[in-house]
Amino acid sequence: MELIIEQVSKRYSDKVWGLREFNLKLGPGVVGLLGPNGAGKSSLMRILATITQPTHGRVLWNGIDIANSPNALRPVLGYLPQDFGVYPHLTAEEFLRYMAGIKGLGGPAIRQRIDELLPLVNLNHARKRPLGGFSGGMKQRIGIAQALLNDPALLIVDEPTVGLDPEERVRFRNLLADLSGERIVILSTHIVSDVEATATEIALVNEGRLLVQTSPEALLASVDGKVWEWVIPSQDLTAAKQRWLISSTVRRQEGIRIRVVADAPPGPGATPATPALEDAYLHAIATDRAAGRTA
Amino acid sequence: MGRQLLYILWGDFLERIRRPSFRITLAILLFGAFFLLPDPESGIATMRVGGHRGLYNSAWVGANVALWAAFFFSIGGFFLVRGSVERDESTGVGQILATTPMTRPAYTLGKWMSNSFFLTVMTLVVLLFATLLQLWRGEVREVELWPLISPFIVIAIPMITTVSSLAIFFDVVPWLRHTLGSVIYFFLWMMGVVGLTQGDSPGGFFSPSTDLLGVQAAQKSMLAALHATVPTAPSGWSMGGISRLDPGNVFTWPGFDWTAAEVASHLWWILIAVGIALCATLPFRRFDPTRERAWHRSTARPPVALPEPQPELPPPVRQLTPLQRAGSTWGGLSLFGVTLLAEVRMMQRGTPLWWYLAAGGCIAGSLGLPLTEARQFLLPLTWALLIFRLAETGSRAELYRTAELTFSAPYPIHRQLPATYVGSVILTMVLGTGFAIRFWFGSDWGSLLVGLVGALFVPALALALGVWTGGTRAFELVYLLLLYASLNSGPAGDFLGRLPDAAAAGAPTIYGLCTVALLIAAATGRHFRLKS
Repeated sequence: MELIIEQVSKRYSDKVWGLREFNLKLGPGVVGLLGPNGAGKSSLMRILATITQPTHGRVLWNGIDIANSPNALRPVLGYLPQDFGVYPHLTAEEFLRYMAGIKGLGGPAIRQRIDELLPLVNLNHARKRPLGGFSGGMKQRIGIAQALLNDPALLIVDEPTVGLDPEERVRFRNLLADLSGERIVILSTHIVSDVEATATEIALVNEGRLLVQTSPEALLASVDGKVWEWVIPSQDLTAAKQRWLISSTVRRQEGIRIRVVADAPPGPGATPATPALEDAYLHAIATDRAAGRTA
Repeated sequence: MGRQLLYILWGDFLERIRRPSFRITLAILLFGAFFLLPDPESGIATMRVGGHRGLYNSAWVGANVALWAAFFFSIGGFFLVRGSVERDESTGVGQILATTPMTRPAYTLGKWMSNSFFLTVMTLVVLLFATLLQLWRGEVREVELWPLISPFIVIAIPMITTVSSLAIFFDVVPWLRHTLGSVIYFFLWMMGVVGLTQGDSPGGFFSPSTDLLGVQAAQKSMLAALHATVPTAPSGWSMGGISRLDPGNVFTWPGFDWTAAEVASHLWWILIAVGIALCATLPFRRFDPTRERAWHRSTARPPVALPEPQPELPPPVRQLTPLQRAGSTWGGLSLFGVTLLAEVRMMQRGTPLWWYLAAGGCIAGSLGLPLTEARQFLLPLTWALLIFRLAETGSRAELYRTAELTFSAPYPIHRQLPATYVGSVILTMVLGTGFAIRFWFGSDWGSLLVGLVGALFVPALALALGVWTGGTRAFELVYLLLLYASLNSGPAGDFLGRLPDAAAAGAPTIYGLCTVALLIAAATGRHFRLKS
């Protein structure tokens, strides 16, 4: 099972590129696609989900170009878009049965599947309710359930935890980790903690390009010895933000405790801190932007 | 409030003109405008006055464009501009607007102005194009501003503003917002606007003219000018069709000689339009979902979010039972059958009780009533009933924003699209069961064939228009016009099975070919959508 993205570019207009010469090779496991807003993550997701086609390059699913043969992938594809609607008059169960029908699935097996999925996304109590009355989080969960209907070998989830409360977010992360096994899961998000909890591999994306494809451990190692905690007076915060890359601030009685990502200690009293994935992510993006400015 | 109106107007206008539908409509209008001034050498005319046509001067050009725009926008304009309130609702912009100091009258008036401005700009573009065409044709190379523009002000603008206000009214009344509203407007249009062309109440300073389409005024003025130069000319007047003239049958029409009372009687309609737009503030709920019933098609924001129940304990096992992929069937059903079943179930859901009752009534009536009466009255009603269930065919995924979910499922063209079509055909055939049985037992094979081809044609039309436009309005308009035309045409235009000799006149061949073309168009449209 292999997904290869080769030199993929997506151009929306003369000057607007969603992706530029993007390369990625994926095997079973959870890959976290991390990047700022507008980095090109959703463009890539839509190409991988066969919704849209690349302007240049190709995507190979087990050696088959999905632009030419999208139906080689679709039967084993589960996709949760970032933004989607539902049919308001259908109940949760009916919607899943409809989506199963659209995917070409039917019979007792799919009924059993729906019976398993609804409790899994914590919607068993609402299975007979029309979707028109669902909250945003409940709607998101029905989206997750439909993506899992066909036992997908490739599961693509685009910002899946948006709209979920903290408890549901944790539940979804665990579900994703449990389901990964012998399938490729692509988790696109800008929420680093989601990736931290589930991903076996990370792909950093910025301005339509792949910055790095690496393991979470390797990404963390890239900022080893570069993360510092330092308490500064409140009034110095603005100046500090301009000078250093700050990954978090916490207000304390004695001032503001900042977390700085820098090669050297930012000042006297700064103490080394254990790097977190968020530090590594911000460092990589900031380094790329700085390189872009110099170029 | 003035500033608010201006911003609503401008924002809405920009949003509309940047859509592909604007360019397509404008292209159709310009293409149509080309036929307003046919080549003088061709001997044909689209407006005919007592067997003559007018010399291509500014007055003739202005009147042609104004009359044509008034007629076209009286029906097409409504379908073109409606939906702006629903768009604000589905995009969430309405929720933001509702939190601003904007008043309800400011909103409905702003939307009315936007609708009017949009249609006015389109008419002005057509007028400009027609003027250039006049210069190109070269019969009169002088452009006179008042004769050119006065029909536009006196005839086209009142019609545009009236239609625009009705569109707003239909938009804010929840039960008029969708297909039922389209059907009601169509009947209003047939009875009202078209009926007004027969009316001859000129109105005055204090009463509106019933000649909203301007037909009576144009007829009177043009015939008077013709008879002044050719007293023996007949009094016939027609517009719209293409007719051949005798060479040299050209007269000079100097234009409308408007009196102040005539102008006032037409401009009255602008005031009436303002009144309708202000009336629309009464049902307008300021995007408060709790004050509207679930008429909404849009599901972007649920009307009433149910309280989240207490979470259940996570299930002990998180592994799902693997699905068997072997073979092409599940439980004996083919993959296509499964998808078809899903589509049929989907069409069933959300169908109101009144529709089932009406459908049952039509089937029972078609079996029980004398066939001649049933054909005349019940058959058109049965076909009209279809519009409520078929309008979303082909555009459902776009309307409910499920396109990304369904188009990433297998075979969106080869399996999903045919399943949608076959589901619609089944529904159409079920509705026509009563008539089919009557035709069968009456050995009226011709009518049975016409009905069967019609049952293939109408879903194909719904599918193609839905796929290409991503909405329901194009089908609603085209289907209603087709029904109207079919009821008023000869046997060759009958796709309903209303006339016993329709099969002999070739109706099945005509509509059969149309069905094939529409299905190809639907598949092509879906293909482009997937490739985009």
